Amino acid sequence: MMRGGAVPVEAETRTATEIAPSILTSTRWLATVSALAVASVATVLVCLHFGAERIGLAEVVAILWRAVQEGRLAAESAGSSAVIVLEVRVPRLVLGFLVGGCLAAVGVTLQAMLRNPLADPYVLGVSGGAAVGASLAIVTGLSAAGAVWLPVSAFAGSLLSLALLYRIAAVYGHLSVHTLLLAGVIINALFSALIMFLTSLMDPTHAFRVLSWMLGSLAAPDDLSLSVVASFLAIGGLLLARQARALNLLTVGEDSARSLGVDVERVKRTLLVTTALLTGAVVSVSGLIGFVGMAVPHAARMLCGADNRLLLPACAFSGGMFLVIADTVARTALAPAELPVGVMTALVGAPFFLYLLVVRKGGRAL
Amino acid sequence: MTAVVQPQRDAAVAYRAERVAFSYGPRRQSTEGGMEGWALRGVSCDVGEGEILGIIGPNGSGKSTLLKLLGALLLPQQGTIRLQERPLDSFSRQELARIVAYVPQQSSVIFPFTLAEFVLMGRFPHRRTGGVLGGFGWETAEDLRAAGQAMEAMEILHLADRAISDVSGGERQRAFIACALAQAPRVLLLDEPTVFLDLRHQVDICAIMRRLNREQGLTVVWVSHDLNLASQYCDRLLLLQDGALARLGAPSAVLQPEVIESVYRCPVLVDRHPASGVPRVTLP
Repeated sequence: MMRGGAVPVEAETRTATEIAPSILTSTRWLATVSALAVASVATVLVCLHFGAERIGLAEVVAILWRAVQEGRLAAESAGSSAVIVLEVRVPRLVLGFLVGGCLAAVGVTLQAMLRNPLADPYVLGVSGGAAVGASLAIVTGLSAAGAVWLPVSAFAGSLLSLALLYRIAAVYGHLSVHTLLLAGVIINALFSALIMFLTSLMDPTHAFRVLSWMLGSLAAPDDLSLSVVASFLAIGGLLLARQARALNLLTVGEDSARSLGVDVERVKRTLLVTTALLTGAVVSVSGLIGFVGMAVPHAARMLCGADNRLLLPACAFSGGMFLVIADTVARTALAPAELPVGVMTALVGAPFFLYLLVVRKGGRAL
Repeated sequence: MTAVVQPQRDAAVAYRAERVAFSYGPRRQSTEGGMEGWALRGVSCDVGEGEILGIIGPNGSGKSTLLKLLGALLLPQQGTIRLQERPLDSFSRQELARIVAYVPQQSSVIFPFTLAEFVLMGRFPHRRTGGVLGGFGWETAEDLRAAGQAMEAMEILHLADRAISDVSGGERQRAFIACALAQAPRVLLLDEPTVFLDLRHQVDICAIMRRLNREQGLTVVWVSHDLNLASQYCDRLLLLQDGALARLGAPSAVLQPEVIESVYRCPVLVDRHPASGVPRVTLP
């Protein structure tokens, strides 16, 4: 509207410049994302230097620099510090960063799609579904057939639980914040029972592995599973980024989004499959890590607003940093003993969740 | 407004709805042809290009349902709706969004978008598509201009950096309308746009609607509970009763005491507005 000469040109440009500071521009996007990227690199470097074996920050940087110059294999002969950093800590930190970033991005997407600021893949039982899928793959021996099968069955499990969740939401029309959480609690109870049932079918060594993995752990990933997960994540991240602007419209309501030209059914299908893909990949390598997907988006929204074009990458970076820090605390606080990282995130995340639910009444996102 | 514009037989028609029926639940149609439980039961009407049409009727008479059908947010189970002589379901969502804007009944936004960001969402149908990050596209200067103008028209420009989750109901309502105006539509569908507004903003929104209608030929379909506002600002009124068309015509023809009394089941007084001469409905 407002075409034609009814309004003087100066007035038109004035209104345009007047709203510019209040919106997300590509300049602000670039500045925020670069700042977060720099912060992420710094966080990872600092966390590399913590651990049972004290390795100075300067030495960490030197080891990494040598590894980059000479290639990883040559660096292996460079002493025990280099082996600890390159073979133990780097893979674990990379995995932690990817997992945390993914959980936060999945959380943002679920919150927008369900219009519920407390949505979290763990709380809603999406991670639980993935865990059931992964346990099934272990029991049936499918996971032994190739590295790709564990994430694929976890993906199938989380897709199933998302479909169930969405079906429940559809029956009620628009589901209130609390009813949806209640549905998540019930779905979670069902899935834990299923996992317990499946573990009792396994031999004890398998069962122990599954149970400790259920607490959430980033310990000792091998290169193959790391690269399988990384490729799942790359595809999922791209699919989410493509839908970021449509996701903004979905947060307002499905009718509004539809009338603004969003093909709501198609976008929702894409987003459901993508969140299931990411959750499946994450759970298959790190087990059940809760509350990252709820706590990080809240903090990120305070920092950079509600536009999902910025919120998604911001959550990916801050989720990564959050989990890397949590894991560093988990493996150093009671050294040489290690806490599962899921324990750490729950210790921080659950009280925050309660605060949002009780004090802020869960009705409004920060 | 004294002159009543009746769309002529050969005047351009924006919408043509024929025997449109819709049911939210499972479709029940008894063997005798009754349609219990249907929200709309075979409504036929035209909306003229450049007309302001008011949809009125008691609660649950199907006003919002009819509006959503016109916006293709619901699909009729029976009957057809044509927009600009084309079946409504032959438009893609994006094509449709460049022609028709829809303002929902008062709804809340939970996430803290700034008002400017929210109004800019109205530019979504005008985005450039394609490329790897097709959905990412940044708003153009033209988008900013359209959003700024719409916000100025709705007097919310000074609230540009406020979070939509924090503003008052009236301010949010004006933001929704600004979003629809930024969409640069040919047809504006409004579901109870004045319901949360104080007197001055009610009049403002009606005046803006009428100005856009007169200056740019914007077609407006407007669901209203307020019979007197509808009488003042609409070219024609469509009165619904239990999902069926009760009357369609100029306000003076529809707002007859016996018609209103039988449809709303409530005694009313109808006299003339002292200034404009349109019918005025009051309780005795």
